[in-house]
Amino acid sequence: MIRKRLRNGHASQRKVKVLSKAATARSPIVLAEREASKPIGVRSDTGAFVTLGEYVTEPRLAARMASLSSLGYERLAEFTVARLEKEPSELRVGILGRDELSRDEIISEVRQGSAIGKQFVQIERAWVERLKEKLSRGEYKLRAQAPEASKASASSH
Amino acid sequence: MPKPRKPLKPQPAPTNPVLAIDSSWDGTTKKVFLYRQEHVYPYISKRRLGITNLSETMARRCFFEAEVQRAGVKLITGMGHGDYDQFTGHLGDVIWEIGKYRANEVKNKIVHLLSCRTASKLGPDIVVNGALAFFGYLEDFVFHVDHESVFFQCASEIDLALADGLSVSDVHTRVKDVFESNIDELAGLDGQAAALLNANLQYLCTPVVDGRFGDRSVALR
Repeated sequence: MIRKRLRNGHASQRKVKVLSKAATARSPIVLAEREASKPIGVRSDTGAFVTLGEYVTEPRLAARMASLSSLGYERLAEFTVARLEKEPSELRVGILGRDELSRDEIISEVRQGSAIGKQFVQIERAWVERLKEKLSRGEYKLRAQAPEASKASASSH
Repeated sequence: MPKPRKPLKPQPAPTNPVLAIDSSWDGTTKKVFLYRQEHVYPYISKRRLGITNLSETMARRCFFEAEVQRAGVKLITGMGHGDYDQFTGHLGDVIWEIGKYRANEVKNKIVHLLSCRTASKLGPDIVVNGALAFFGYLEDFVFHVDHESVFFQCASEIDLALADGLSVSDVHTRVKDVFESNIDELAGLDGQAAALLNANLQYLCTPVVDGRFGDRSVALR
């Protein structure tokens, strides 16, 4: 055991602290429940938002979704606002460049297209990309996701 | 009869290898300052690295300028408001701004700025002026107030790993692992917090991300 630790440069110096074993375990991370109701994409045929719950339970939807990179700022802003509106109004985000912003202030910045608003559009977009990637690899899943749906979601990407 | 000892010449006190500068004049910087005081500086001290800490009202250019040019300073770790071309201290006092600092303030040093946007222009400029490596963020450093200590822990891992003597390349790997583990963990608790932490990882710049941020093979010791 000691020998193993010494071979590992990191472990020999300091055990890196993570919140729990869940993050390093092979079993998929069960996403927070609120995520299921947030939009994760936009249908290319109707323009309607597709929630993460729909995306996971109806894997065929993936083929009908427009790439987020094809959307203009206005639609991306609507997409971001729709996601943020699912957050509680008590949400507060600290920014080292300024002070703390409430959920409604962030939504207002996104609608105005300010620098920080555009950054929040980027933040949501990057997160959605990560969610899709991790879901397709089976590393994330929804709480109520049946094993069949999980497999179908993984194989459709 | 023993020979009388020659009087010892006064030796200059050895310079601390770590120079820390922390703003704490508003709500967000105060939080990060307190975290670094409690979790980062004691750890660095345990690694037998002396720290000169310019914090609160001492986080000003006039004090920083005198300390940073002392021989023996190897790591500068700063926290405060930043912009694409500048890093500021107490009440917005400009510590570094492109074109307004001396190259010997950064030459042969590793620089970590926990600040917004400084990786965009200031970071590469610091490396052009002779810094060995730069760590910083391209856009605003954001944090979810309900999980703020997780955000500060991830950002602070840079200083801890440097203090452990890891190469910049290994520091990058360790920091990325800590970010990734915590993003996954937060994903199960609070998706918005996970999204914000994920953004900070996307904005993090190190010499491994881009050669403009210095040499990935260097280490603090």
